[in-house]
Amino acid sequence: MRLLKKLTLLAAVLLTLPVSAQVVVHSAGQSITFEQPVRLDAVLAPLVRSADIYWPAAALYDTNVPEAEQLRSETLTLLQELQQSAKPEVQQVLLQLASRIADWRLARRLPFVIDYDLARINLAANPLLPAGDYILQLPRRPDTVVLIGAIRGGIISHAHTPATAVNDYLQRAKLQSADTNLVQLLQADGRLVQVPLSGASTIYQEAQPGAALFVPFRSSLFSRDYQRLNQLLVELMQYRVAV
Amino acid sequence: MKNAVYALCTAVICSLGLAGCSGTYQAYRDTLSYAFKPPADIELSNEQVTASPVDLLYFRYGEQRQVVLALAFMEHNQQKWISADNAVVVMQYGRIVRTAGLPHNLLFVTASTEDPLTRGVTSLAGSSWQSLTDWQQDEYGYLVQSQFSQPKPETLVILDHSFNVLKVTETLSYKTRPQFWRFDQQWQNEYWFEQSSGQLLKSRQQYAPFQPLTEMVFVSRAARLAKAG
Repeated sequence: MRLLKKLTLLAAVLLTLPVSAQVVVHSAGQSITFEQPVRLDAVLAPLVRSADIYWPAAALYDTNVPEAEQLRSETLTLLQELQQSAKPEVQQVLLQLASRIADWRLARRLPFVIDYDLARINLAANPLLPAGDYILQLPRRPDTVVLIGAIRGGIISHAHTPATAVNDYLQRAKLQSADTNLVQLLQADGRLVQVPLSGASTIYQEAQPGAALFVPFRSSLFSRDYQRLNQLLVELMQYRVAV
Repeated sequence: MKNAVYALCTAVICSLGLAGCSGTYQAYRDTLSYAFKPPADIELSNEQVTASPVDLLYFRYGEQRQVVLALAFMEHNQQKWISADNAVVVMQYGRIVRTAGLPHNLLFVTASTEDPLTRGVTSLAGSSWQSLTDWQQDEYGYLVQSQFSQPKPETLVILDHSFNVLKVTETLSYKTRPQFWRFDQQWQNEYWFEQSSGQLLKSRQQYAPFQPLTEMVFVSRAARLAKAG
């Protein structure tokens, strides 16, 4: 009986060990499993099938992000609270934001460049992925820019327009209560760029195809709630897995 | 005696100080020598080129010295050349369509019609093409239109061998209204094709008007053609 117990325990250990070292990568509807930590080029090799990949928007996400769910929960709670006292125009937008954010797929974008050519020739561009569950995106050149925040609809996709300043995307979409002094542009390559759009500090900045543009809500002198909402939305936006 | 010890200590401290500075001093000296006398271009002999197991390309980026790139990958109708310092230049039918690891990179070229370069030198005269280009300086979707000239016969010397070539000039211009005032709305790329085979032997290209000129010489190709006769 004791021997049987020991064997069962050993079998359980042997069964769990390989699973814990596995690297699972989900990409374009398929999942690939590697039995041990693997370099980026080996992950990309079976998935790069054309020259149409838009490498600036290629991204690898770690799906194990409990902090992102915590952030989403906090954001949804605050959105609900603010709906109680908001003006009708803003109330509608807060409702739409909550509904869309609840559906977002959240993961942590890994902070390195995904480029198959560089990965194959340069060890520094070919990191070793530890055991875990990942989402890999190898998109074609995106044709939209996503607007998030104090805009009509809460979150909308706008066609990417060549050689166009971010300000042009906002003109028709922004709310009265939008604060366009400083919008936050999350480029498709993962850079977060602060874009001042008022007064002498206004800069010309284009959005990358596939970028997300956050337009803050104007915060009140008497309440910091919208300021907090802006912070939460910018943080959460960085966990959003672009579709 | 006290004075002798004092003098010895001073000498040791001074020499340690000088030794500490010597690395910095050497770095300054190296920097100055590079500034006044940049490293020489890399030139290979015909034997070195022929002996190479992979195709080689002379590559000059702006005012920098000529370096040698090696053909690392051929896939999806693209040739991918790499440098010793891990830059990648991706070419499609002789045109640079993407770079990585350079100071300013060409991110993507989108074209709705076939590049005339795919049809070869005999069909280039009068052809036109347009593409949208994305550059690393946060400029995305700039419409560039180009027109190819009539090929002109010339002679080109590569690896001490003289080749009869046809030179074609491609005049490119911005069609997107620029956001900043620019004087460089138009520029030219040049291609030298070997006459009998139609193979591209040399090219000078700018993938954006504000970029340095890039010069490429396909030395392995030239060596093969010279050997064939």
